[in-house]
Amino acid sequence: MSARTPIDDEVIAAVESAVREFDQPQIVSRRILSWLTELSRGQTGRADNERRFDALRTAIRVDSTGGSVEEAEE
Amino acid sequence: MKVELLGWRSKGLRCPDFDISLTDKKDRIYRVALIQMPNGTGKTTTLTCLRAALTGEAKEWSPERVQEFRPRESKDAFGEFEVRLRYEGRPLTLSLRLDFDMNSVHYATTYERGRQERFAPPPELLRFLKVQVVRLLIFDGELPQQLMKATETEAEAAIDAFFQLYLMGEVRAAIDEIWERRTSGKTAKQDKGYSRRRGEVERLELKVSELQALQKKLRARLDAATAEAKKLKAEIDERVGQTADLRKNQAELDEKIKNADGALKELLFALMARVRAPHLLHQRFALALSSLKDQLDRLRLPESSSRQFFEELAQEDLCVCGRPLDDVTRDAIRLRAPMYLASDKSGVVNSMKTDITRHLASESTGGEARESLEQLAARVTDASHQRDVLEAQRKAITQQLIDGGDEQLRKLQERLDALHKQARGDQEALDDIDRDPFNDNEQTSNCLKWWRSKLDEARDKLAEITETLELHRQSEILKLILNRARDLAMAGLKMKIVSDMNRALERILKGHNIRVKGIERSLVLDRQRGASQGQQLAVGYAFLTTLFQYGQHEFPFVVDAPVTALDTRVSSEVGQILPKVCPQFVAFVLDREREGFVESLAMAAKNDVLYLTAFDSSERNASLMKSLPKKDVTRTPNGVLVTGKEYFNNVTLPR
Repeated sequence: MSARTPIDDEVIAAVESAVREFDQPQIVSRRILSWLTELSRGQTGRADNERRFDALRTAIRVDSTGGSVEEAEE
Repeated sequence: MKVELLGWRSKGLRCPDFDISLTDKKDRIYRVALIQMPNGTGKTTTLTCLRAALTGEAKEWSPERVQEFRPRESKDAFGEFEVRLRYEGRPLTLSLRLDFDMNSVHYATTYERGRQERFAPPPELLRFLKVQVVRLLIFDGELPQQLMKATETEAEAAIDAFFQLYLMGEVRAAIDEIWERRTSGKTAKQDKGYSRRRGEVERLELKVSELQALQKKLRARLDAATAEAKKLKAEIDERVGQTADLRKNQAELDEKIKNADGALKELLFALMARVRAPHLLHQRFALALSSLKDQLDRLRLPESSSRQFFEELAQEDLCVCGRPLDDVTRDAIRLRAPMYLASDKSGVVNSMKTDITRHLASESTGGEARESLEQLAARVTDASHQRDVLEAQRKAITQQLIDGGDEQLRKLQERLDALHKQARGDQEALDDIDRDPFNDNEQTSNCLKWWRSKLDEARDKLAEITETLELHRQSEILKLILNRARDLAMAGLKMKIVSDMNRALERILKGHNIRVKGIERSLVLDRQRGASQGQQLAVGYAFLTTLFQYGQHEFPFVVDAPVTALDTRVSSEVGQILPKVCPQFVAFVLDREREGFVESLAMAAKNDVLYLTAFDSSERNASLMKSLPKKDVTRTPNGVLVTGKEYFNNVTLPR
């Protein structure tokens, strides 16, 4: 087992493909892969996760009907 | 991630006490380490302890399970097993201590921060130290069958672990955690809550808008009424003024009313000023203020502006009191200065103290007897009454003419009265709209400020849920992407692995016609039923070596009897492959496995091979004990360890 790149090419391609399928900009796949790479190099802390999540949120495109939302009691 | 197995040490267990080192003199691991042991020497114990040390699973062992490791006829209360690793270049030791009297197992971990009396590998390594992964690394003889058993998920679990697909799950978990954290205090997180809040904002917007329209309408009507009233009053005055006497009376009364208005205004100002000076309202306020002043910090100056004052004072010849300063008193000033310095808020406190002193002093020493609040209020009432009387007198003049039959004047006056009545009603309604809220329960009122505050609150809540919903939708999209990416990655990797495995199998099992059709949860062979045990083992190797080849981590691969079930040609093929795909291959071999396998293995490893032969010093190995080489022999109380290729290749171990 060798350590060439932190994330396998197949995984990189899968992330890019999934991001395209959900009609999201390319930057989303870059940020997901960056998060995965950081995780693969060691455990990230809560602050790192928050930072990465917020970076992803700014890149995610939500259309007016997007996202499934459950009904729940307030 | 890189993990190397440096060695292990066993003591007081159902295997000889050995300290096996897998490193050379430079502390570098051998690419291949072969440990030749006769059956019954404790291989199973060693491998089980290796797995248990790496996974922490022995904490769950039953008393019977613990007793299985106690040497027969031993009275020792403890057994020990220690695994030495190198994780990312740093030493890591995991050890087990079996208490045969208490039937318990105690773990210890030695890593960067020293020794911890528990199973505590670094967190990032811990996720690989799961039973399912470790049984791939410390190869379980039953694994090949399980890799192909439809009900097992070993194959998928292995791909997940080696290609880090679990990381997508970790990101998903982090997103869930962030969502929970950010919305934990929020009362509404879903669309239903959004609709309700949107509806509430719309309802309040409508109410505020209605009130604003009413306010505008009332103001306009009041303005119109005022203008008309002014005009009517002028007309009435003009009509009244047509009679000379009445005109004179009216003018006099107007003057008096004007003066009465002025007097009333002055008195009202005086009353308000009195109310604004609480210490003048009642003696209790004055006492309370005096008490407050006494309780405030004494002799404190704002530090930011006053520190320099003390510093400069200490450089003067004379103190502020006029006495000469010397070095002792100067030092005392510097030393004691902090006692008189406080935060900048002390400036405000000082100012309060000064104001209280000034106001209280002016009251008590002013000399002029101040009028009491009650007296002032009574004068206001009198002045107001006086003005009303004058107004009534003025109106009586008009009434006198009306009573005398002036029809035109009557109509004008009636219209004026009606306007005043309407204006009073409108003014009251307007005052109700413009006033401050009495309390938080004004649902039935027209208090605009209250309704606006409710609208602001509702808008805040709507904004909160709008943000929450956006967060929810973004989180959901991200999780859907991650799920899809994992599925795509797993499918792609399976295809790639199947293709590579089949290429390896064509070489390893030449002519056997064994091919992998696919990977579902387990490996699916083209003709599964016909695969022999040896063929299944070869398929297992093909799978694992393919994983090793593509995965992103370096782990040792430890196998017991690696080629027992394979024929010589297949053994040789396996031997050629393993060192090329494993950074560290450790095998417990039987002497009958040497042929074909060891030679090809050594060649593929470029002779970077450690040869060890180990056996216990029991009676059945007496002949071996008599023919030991002269060097590279380590004796322990119950075993012998011989290092070296020659002995390894030539010794015949008892069956």
